[in-house]
Amino acid sequence: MAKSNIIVLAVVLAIVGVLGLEFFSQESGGPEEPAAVRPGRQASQFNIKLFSDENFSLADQRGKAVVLNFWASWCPPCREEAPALERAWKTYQDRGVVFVGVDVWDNEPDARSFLKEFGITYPNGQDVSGEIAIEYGLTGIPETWFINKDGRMVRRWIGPMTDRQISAFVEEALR
Amino acid sequence: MRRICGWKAVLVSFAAALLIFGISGVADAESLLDKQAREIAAALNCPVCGGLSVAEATTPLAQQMRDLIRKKLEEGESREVILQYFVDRYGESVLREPPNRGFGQVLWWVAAGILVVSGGALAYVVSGSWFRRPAPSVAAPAGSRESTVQHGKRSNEVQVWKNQRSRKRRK
Repeated sequence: MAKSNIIVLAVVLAIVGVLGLEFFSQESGGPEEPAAVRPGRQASQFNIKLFSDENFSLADQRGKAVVLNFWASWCPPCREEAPALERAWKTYQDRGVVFVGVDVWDNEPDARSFLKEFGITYPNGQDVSGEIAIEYGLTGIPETWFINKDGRMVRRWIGPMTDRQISAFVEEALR
Repeated sequence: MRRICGWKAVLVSFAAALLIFGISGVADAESLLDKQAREIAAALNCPVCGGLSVAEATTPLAQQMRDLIRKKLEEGESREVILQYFVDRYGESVLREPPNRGFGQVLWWVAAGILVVSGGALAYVVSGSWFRRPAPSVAAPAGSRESTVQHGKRSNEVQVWKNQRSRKRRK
């Protein structure tokens, strides 16, 4: 084989090798959300017993946008966003939006005091076994999921939210 | 009468033996489930505990993950399915051991191999052509073969020039 052909072949192989390494590095270690909690996926179904003794089922909310907020009474950022969530609930409840709060890693009396203190009127319940929290890959609170009318997760927000953020995300879920 | 009592005794002892075996069987199954649950928990990072495994951590989330592992085992799910459940929710970083990527890993090594081989071939060809590159035109030392040949050529040229000059003079 001519020397020039060997050089061309080696260069082509080197380019193929570099592109291959780049491709498989990206495929293996991207900053993507884990599969089950990736926005755009169907939201995991759950049932929760509310503090009002009623049951809440996500499956029953088809056709409505759902704001799913994870919180705990001992969590300062949860206290920070609680009034904004209640205001948003009052604004959007007549527009086919359901708010549901899931109290995690908490005790019931403290959770009830929290709801009373902030005058929370939307449905809330305690995830005693933690299975809902784990199902949604929860690692901290507050964390809020916005689910659209088709039951797809459109946004995950980690941390406290302002009135403007809640409005923007609810509008996104209503689209 | 005595014979009936004897039969009763045999039946009672047989029932007792069955009960004991049954209880010990259940206990074995439970301890096996506990062992499997511990092993799975030890293979998972607690997502909120900074490097501790689910088996070691004492946070509520770790406790709930342990309970869920146990529940899933009781429902008959395999170790692989349970680990994948947590990976799907917390990402691969939830595993304490890096996963073996199978076909993707093989392709990665093939790509790396191509890169190394082609780099080596390129280096070989380039270095070979450098070694065979002609030496820069510096005067060869006196007495060398090249010097002698050039000297011979030059002396022939001088001789031809001398002959032409003498011919012109004669004319």
